[in-house]
Amino acid sequence: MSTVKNVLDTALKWLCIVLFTSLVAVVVWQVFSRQVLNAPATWTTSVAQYLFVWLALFGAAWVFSEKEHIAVDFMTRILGVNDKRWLEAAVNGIVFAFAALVLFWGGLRGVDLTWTQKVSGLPVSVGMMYLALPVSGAITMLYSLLHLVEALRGRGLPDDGEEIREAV
Amino acid sequence: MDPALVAGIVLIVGIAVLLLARVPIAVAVGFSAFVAVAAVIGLEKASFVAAQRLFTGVNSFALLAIPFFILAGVLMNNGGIAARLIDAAKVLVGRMPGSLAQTNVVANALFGSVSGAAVASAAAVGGVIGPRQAKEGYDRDFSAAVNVASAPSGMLLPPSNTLIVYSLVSSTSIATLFVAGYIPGILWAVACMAVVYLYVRKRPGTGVNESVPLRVALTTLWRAVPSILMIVVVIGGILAGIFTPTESAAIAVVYCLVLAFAYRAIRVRDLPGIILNTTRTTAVVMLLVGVSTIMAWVMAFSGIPAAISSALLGLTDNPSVILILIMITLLLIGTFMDPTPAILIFVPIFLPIVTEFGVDPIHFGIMVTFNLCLGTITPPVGNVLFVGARIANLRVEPVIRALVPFFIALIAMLFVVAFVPQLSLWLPGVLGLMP
Repeated sequence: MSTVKNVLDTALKWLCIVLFTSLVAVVVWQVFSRQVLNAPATWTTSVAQYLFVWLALFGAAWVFSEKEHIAVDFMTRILGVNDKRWLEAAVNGIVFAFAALVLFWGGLRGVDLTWTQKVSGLPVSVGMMYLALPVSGAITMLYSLLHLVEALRGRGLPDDGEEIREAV
Repeated sequence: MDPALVAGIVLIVGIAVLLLARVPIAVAVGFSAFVAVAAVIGLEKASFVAAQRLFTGVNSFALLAIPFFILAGVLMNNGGIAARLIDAAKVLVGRMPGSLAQTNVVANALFGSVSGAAVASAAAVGGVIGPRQAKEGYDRDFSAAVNVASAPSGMLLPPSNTLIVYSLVSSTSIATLFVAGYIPGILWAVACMAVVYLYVRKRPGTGVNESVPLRVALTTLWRAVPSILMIVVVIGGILAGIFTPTESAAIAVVYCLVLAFAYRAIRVRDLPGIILNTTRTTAVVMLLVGVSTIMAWVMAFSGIPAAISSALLGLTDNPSVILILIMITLLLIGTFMDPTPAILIFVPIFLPIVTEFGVDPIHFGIMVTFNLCLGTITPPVGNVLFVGARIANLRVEPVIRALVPFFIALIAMLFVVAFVPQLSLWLPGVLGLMP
């Protein structure tokens, strides 16, 4: 199972790197074409927006893999190891339910309803863009299941140290 | 039972229970909001409505400024820009009593006015100045406290992602908020400098820097000019109408890349790691933004803001008292929640109440941000506090003790900012940014 996770992680990371780099390039081109070439590109804003949605959704799936979505954790520090195991399993159950019901199921309906709706000026449909929801949802479901099983086995429990991350 | 009441209760109880159980904030909000929607319109319809709202909530060109500003900040941190800003700060305030501590405050403010990352700032600036302070005999807890207390000024000083998120929930202009953040952000730094001043006055010997020859001073400042010029490019570009905030953020990325390569501080092979670092913060913020748009549906349907508003008005109809109550509530929330989720969850509740009393939404945004930034330096959850202690190799508790005078000064300053609207609104007014 951990090989599957590693392959998925690596794929998501590179996808995010490519999406992010393209985003910078697209928006810089938007400024350049308007201010320097005096011929504003018409496609840049909507391309950038969709790239950004994809980056946000696939990035979020990867962050689920890393368990780095921020949580309020000071109340659970008092729990014993056994309680922590069950709680961590339950938390991943909730993540699974959210990913399954909203991202995957709701996302699939979104794809279905907008599959033929054209994005103006681009050779894609809104439904294709919506695909990021069910796909990232399915990946998140897989990650949360893996974490759930790990937690029941007593591995990967949150520790009590202060986490170091950027304040958002 | 009234479906609006059911939805409201499901949302509030759901979020509270899931947060306490350590469910990620984004999932706690998203899942509770989804269940509340499902209670009203049924499971199948709700899944689609929730997915669609999440998608459209994230699908925003304005919010794209956030990952760009984060990336620019990470590049600055790694790119030799922080070091030059510290040297410049030392020239500016090095002759004041407690020179290294004052330098720390000013360097954090300078770093904050070219980026918006408080933790990165505390790490970069504290990592350089902390050891120098130790060598000159400063109390280590105090040095760490100075660094921790002053780092969040960057979240008020533009560019600021917190203000971009506020602009989203309050439908206000990013440019106006940015400009409004200047004076309160500087006041944050001034409050810290005042505490440092009072502290060193009682302890002679916490050295004043030797005077540097004018030539050296000028060279040092000159070396920082390209870094500081970024303010002109980013904020100036927005104000002059050359760029949108998102475009200016992309330009900031390119600018920082050029500087970092020119200073030979990063290599091409460092970039994937830097981008992933940025993606992490971006994804956390954007999932929160996405689920908060599901929550907005429930808020509007259930009338939670109106209910809280009338409950507050039942207690008192004195606007100042209500403002104080809101500020205290947010201070408490800020101790365990980051500014971004707190703004996404609570501004939709409080903003309609205060605007009824004639509080300007721009002014409210600045006081809320000031308020919640205090939460980043308070336990039990305070990222800036944790990183500041870690970088100084200290435990958190002694740093908290040394922070107390700073808390007092900053809370006093919070109430000044809250009750003197001109501090936030004067500068945007002068620049013609107020409607």
